[in-house]
Amino acid sequence: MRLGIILFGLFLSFLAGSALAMEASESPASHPLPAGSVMPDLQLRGELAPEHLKHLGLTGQEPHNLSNIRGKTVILVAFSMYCPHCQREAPVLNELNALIESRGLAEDVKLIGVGVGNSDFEVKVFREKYAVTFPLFSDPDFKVNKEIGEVGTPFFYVLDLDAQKKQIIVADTMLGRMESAASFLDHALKASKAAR
Amino acid sequence: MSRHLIPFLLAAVLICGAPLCAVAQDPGIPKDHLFEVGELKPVDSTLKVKIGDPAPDFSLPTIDGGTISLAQFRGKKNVALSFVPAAWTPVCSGQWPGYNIVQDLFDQADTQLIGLSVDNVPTLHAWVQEMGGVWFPVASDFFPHGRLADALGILRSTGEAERSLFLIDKQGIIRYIDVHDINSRPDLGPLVKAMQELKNAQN
Repeated sequence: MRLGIILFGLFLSFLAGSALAMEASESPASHPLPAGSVMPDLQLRGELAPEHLKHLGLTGQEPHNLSNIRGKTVILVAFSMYCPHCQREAPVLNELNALIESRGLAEDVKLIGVGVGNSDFEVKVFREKYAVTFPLFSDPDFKVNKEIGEVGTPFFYVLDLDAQKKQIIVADTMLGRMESAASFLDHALKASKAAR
Repeated sequence: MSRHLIPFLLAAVLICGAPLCAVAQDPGIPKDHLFEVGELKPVDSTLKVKIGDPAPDFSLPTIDGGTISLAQFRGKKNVALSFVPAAWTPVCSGQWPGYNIVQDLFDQADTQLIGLSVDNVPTLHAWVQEMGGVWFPVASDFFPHGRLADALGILRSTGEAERSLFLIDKQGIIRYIDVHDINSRPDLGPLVKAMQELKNAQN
């Protein structure tokens, strides 16, 4: 019995230790845009399903401008099909998207992914493998990633969209996996509100 | 195992969310474990084979302690060789984890993927373990140094192999070659397309 308790304790501390490790594929050149700064109006490309385009309020030919996304807050996650942390984060990202919907926030808060260094094919692999429920863009030549600061993956940008000024403000950033979808969403909503 | 232990282990499994468990098994490779190589000459060798040529046979040790040869797949499976330049470098460490989630694409195309580098077996073993393991065999072209890489014409002047992909059919004929810029990862799309086309032509 005592052995059981000791083993259990060891198991828990092992989990805690691994949770503390940075769960990201880091980028040596990373220089993310700080909170409060203006995000360039990114040109987004990819093979998006019609319902995803509709969800984002995007029409016409790609590239689509980030500023044309209909919503108040955009949560942009930079990911890669090749990044094991992103592979493990995929179900939690789906959870985050489901949470946005179930809380009735889908009109105002849009979750999008950008596959940095990923071709359309590689983004499709990621989307199908993990049954990703939210819109994913590709970035085969790292053009978007250069604009967002050559970040590692997964990397989260919480962006506040000011439709009148056509300005996009970085409300918050985070490298690495979410602690939980719920705590991340709460934090992102607060940050986005504070940026207004 | 003591019977009293079982409830604790069950509790542990319940408390531990699935992502945490996955992390515990597969920590990934932290940046400070990798060696930054900087920008290298994109290609530093001259191919000695072309599409339509027979592939040089090989028999190489693998990180699971076995050996793998091209001949063993003759008449059975197509073979895709993925050479990476060196273990413990950033681009290479970000290539096979992608292949690791697409075993179904290789299976559907009746193709056996083999990962290779000119590192020795213990180094390759440690590196792949730290990646969290991969489903495909990983072979070492270490000794005589880079013999297979040299036979293909992808051995760089500094002793590493080029970042390259070869698709070899069941008769041992090379059907696809991509000697890639060493500084960037090849798009998976063209390789999968070539594999599917080969499979379709065989049906």
